[in-house]
Amino acid sequence: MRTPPGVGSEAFAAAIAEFEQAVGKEWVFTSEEDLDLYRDDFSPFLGEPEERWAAAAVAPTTVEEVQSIVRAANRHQVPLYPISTGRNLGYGGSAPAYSGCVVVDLKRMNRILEVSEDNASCLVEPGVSYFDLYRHIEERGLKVWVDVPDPGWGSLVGNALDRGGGYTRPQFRNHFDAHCGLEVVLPNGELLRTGMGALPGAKTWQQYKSGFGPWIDGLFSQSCYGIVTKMGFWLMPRPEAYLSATVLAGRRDDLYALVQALNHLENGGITNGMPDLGSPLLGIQSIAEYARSMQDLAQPAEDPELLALREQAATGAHEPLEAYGRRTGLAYWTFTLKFYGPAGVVRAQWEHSKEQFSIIPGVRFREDPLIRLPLTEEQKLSVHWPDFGIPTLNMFSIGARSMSNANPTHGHMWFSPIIPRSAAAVFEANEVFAAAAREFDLPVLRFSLPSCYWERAFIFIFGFPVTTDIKTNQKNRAAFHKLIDTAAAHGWGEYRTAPAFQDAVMSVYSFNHHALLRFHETVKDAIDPNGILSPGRYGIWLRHLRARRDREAG
Amino acid sequence: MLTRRGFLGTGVAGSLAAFLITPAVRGEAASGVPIEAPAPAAEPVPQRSGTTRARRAADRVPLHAVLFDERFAEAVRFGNEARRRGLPARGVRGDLTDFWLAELHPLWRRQARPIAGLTAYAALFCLERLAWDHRMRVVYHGALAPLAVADFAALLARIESRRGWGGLPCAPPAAEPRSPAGCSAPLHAWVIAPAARAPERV
Repeated sequence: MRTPPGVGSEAFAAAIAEFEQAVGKEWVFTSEEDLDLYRDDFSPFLGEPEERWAAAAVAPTTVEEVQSIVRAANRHQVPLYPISTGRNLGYGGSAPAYSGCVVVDLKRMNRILEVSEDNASCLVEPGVSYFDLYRHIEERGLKVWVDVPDPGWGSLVGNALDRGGGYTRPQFRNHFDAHCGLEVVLPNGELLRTGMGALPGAKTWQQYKSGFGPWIDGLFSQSCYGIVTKMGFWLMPRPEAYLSATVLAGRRDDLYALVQALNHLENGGITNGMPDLGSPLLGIQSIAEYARSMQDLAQPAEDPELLALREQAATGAHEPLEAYGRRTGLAYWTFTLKFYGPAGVVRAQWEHSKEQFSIIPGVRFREDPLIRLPLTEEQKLSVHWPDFGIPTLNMFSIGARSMSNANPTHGHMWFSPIIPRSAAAVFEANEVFAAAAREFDLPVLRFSLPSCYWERAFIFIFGFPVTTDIKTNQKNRAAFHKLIDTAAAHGWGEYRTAPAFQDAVMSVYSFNHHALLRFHETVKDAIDPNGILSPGRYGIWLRHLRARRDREAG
Repeated sequence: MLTRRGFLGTGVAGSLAAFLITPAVRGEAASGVPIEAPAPAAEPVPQRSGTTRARRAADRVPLHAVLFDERFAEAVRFGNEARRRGLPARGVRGDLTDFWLAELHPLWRRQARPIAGLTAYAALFCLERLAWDHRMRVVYHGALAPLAVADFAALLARIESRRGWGGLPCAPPAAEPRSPAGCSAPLHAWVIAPAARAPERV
């Protein structure tokens, strides 16, 4: 049996015995065969000594068991690493950030404690997946939606705590923002409830978010300060209707006016679904088009003339490409807007939106049929399911071989910088990342469009392949590190990253001599003096491990 | 609530084909094909109820479905072959969501049932991980060339012969079959079943 760093075999055996006492022997896993399942499927260290590994895993089913585990870990100074369902692929999976941790696998805590149709809210344990909650809602015919990420097999709690996102209205597709109330086992084993949950017998835990006094919920996201054992969420009332419609513009520089109008409409709540951007002339599919095309092995061949004009456009000659678009009807940009609400309202919102975009010369509009909800089975065949709160596994085709992906990889790691919501930022980021790709010997991206998961900011999500070739992975990791620094030098930071890069990303959030990280470390030292909870997660280490981190960082 | 075995898809030491049969599964062949379990293990195995029950030699697990990716000619032929043999075949087009939501998840929530398939890798990747939560693992995996589809027919024959999964050979990765659309892509033959041993990571 492997032991955590700095923990003797006797102490570890004693801790294991206490874990077994807490949860039952059958729920403590120490064999290599079992622990293999806690490796990160998409680890960028595949086959290298740095790959993160778990010394053991323990699977509680109650809050009291979690508390017992935490207290035992304190007694024996054994580091723990809680996971919800461990499906955070691309951002670390189920492997601990620090090798040698005991994974606290919360998958068995899978109770849906409450779903309120009237309040449009729920209270769930961390083992509840999007599929679980969706099924629960469907089976009861409740008129609420859960906003789902790609893919939908993960945990609501885990995804929200890692600050994941989805596709419906802004206040729901930001999954952490959609939460209302936490229950947390602190590193000393004490139980804490946030918001109105701090009031014994509270009737409004899932109704009023902030409770009284400093609102500390954010401290438990992307952090190592506690194990969340219950989490409330606001759900989206099922709308009466849905309308999607697309704005098509023909010139490269139309992007400035398009983004400006989009921001105005979205910030004002006029368009209330996730905008989906594409560029037919540049060969960039919208997210919905991409999701649909993943099942098609044969992609239609593109006109060789168009391919040649794209090459020219990449060198700055945009007019010939625009002229091709005028001749063939292909748009330079497509902005698909989505509206949820009563039928009359969404039609009015779209009419108002068209007025806003009409200042763009030559702009065209394409309206999809209005959908009255719920979806019929026939309608389900033609829509992007996450837009309707339906979880899918479709996005897993990313790594699968197809006509458009001749060399599938073992997995991917996401490089996800946040940039301003402006066309200028989009053009600048493309220039910067293309130059960086050339410098770091990466495949040069021709042009990329950001996504609109978050309000008021764009996000680029670049997938770095994880392969079975160690040298390729090493090269990609080095390039990833350089991109983190390159982005930071331009004022852009990642919103989330895999443990392999969490120290690096945290190090660029360095305002005032790393005041933010020093604050995190002060909190960590105060509430987790034995350093037993998630060492290194999001770059936060306990005092005795900081020297190691700094040494490794050079 | 899941059992420990359900949780990790892990069981007592034994052969590749060692099945855990819950009482709920017994005698419930329905549309599936009964599969014979191996010799009983001495060690008691935790059950859903939290009690323990020794496995019996006579226990059988019915195969629930044979999945095939209907985007590929070879997989379609395989699906047809499965149907010809009376096996419950299901066609998918890459994305598993419908099959998972409507059929497999409700089933696996009640009981662990083996499935087999000839699909692209993405489907196998997803199903393997979903299976871990339901005390199952990939017990057979091979990448197939067109001619090797005959091997998979032999696998179907093995299923029909009720000889269990033990000793199934893993076909070596080979030349890639062609899809009807002319796309080159490897097809993966696999079996997911309650198992006593973890497969190699694929």
